[in-house]
Amino acid sequence: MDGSSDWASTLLVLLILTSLFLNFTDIPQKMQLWRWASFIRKRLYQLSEIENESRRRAIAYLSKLGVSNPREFMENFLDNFFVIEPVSKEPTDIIRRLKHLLRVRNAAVKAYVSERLGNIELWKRNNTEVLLEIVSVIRLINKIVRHYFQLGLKYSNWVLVMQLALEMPQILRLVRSYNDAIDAFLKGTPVGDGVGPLVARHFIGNAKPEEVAEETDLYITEFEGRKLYVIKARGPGATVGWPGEAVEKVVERLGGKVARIITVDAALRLESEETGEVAYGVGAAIGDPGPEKIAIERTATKYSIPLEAVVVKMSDAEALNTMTKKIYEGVQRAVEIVKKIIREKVREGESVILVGIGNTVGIL
Amino acid sequence: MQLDPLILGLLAVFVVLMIYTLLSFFTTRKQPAIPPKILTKIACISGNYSEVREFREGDYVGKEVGKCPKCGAPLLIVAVYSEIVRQGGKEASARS
Repeated sequence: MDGSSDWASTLLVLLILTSLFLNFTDIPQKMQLWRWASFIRKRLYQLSEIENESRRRAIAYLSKLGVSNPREFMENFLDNFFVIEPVSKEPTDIIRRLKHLLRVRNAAVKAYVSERLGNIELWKRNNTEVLLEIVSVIRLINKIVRHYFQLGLKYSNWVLVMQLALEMPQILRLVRSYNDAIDAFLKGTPVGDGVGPLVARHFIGNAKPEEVAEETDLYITEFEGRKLYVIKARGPGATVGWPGEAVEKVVERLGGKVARIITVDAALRLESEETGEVAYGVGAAIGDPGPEKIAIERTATKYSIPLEAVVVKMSDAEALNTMTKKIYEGVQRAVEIVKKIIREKVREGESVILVGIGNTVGIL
Repeated sequence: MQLDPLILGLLAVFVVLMIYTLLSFFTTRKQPAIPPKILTKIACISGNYSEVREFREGDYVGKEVGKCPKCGAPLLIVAVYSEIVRQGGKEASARS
């Protein structure tokens, strides 16, 4: 037997032993767990860095607004103001209960911010609220990720750790987009989610606003012989208003004599779709937790008013950040589609309601 | 000395794995992202003049920013958007 055959035999034995070792022990899983955990730790460090950065920026902004102890003001906000969802086992009145809880929470946040900021412009107060919400979301994501990571390590649950590791790039991308969104809200530039209010703005012209619901305005104008009731949140501060309640009130005021209700909103695009693509269909284009959407649907159903929906597609990151040119081009296409719907489906002399759904930051 | 085919095979696998590792290391380096520019589009309400300039603090859609140099009608901000402007490419400001 020559030297190379000895080597081959040794290698063969080693391969068989390694194979047994890998197949009949838990060591490979432990090794994987160690690898995934190390991968997650690096990303957790980045996540913490992003959270710290968002806090620093929020504190700097609050100091600029004249808040005496901005750190304490922010910390008190971050872990509080949660909402406990209403009981769903008994669905009667669930929407009313949810609406009530959301209003109470909204009022509490506004009171907390107003108390510390004093008499400042509405748009600055609104932007501060959104800024605090963003830092709060970043903190929450960080805490949830850490929770599952520690849980996975505690019980050596390598499946949980592996799942988390695979999700980490997506989670980091989302958190980065939240962090970048702070810039948009600090500067007061329109965000991707503002496509609805921006489309509505195109139809307003010189009409004067009339408050129909909290932070939600109605503009009465005309479009080619049709009476146009435009509803949008009050800008240019960061708010989404209460469009459902506004639609309900306007339709009731008109005694249900409305030819069409058109809602325009941003929609999450699929990976195969392009940003700025515009699509239209039937229904209420609004992504709220429920009460506003159901208010539009119930009002439309009560008076048999057809509901038209126009959406501009974008990713979640694009919806949160300064509107891109592609999205703006989508807005221009959406305006043309709304005009086409009105021309083709609303007769001259009839009334139509146009609702611009979304955050109106940077849009009057 | 003549090498065993098994040894040769293992060496080949080792070399391929090394090349793959090195390639993946060099190809995953990202190019630095170009920060987008925020632009403000201003237009005359009569529709015969428009201008795109860099965003200034306090700009918002619907804000009146002066009079039209062509007809004297109010000039309004009609859009604020971000765009990646490459060096030597498009100008950040344009008039029409």
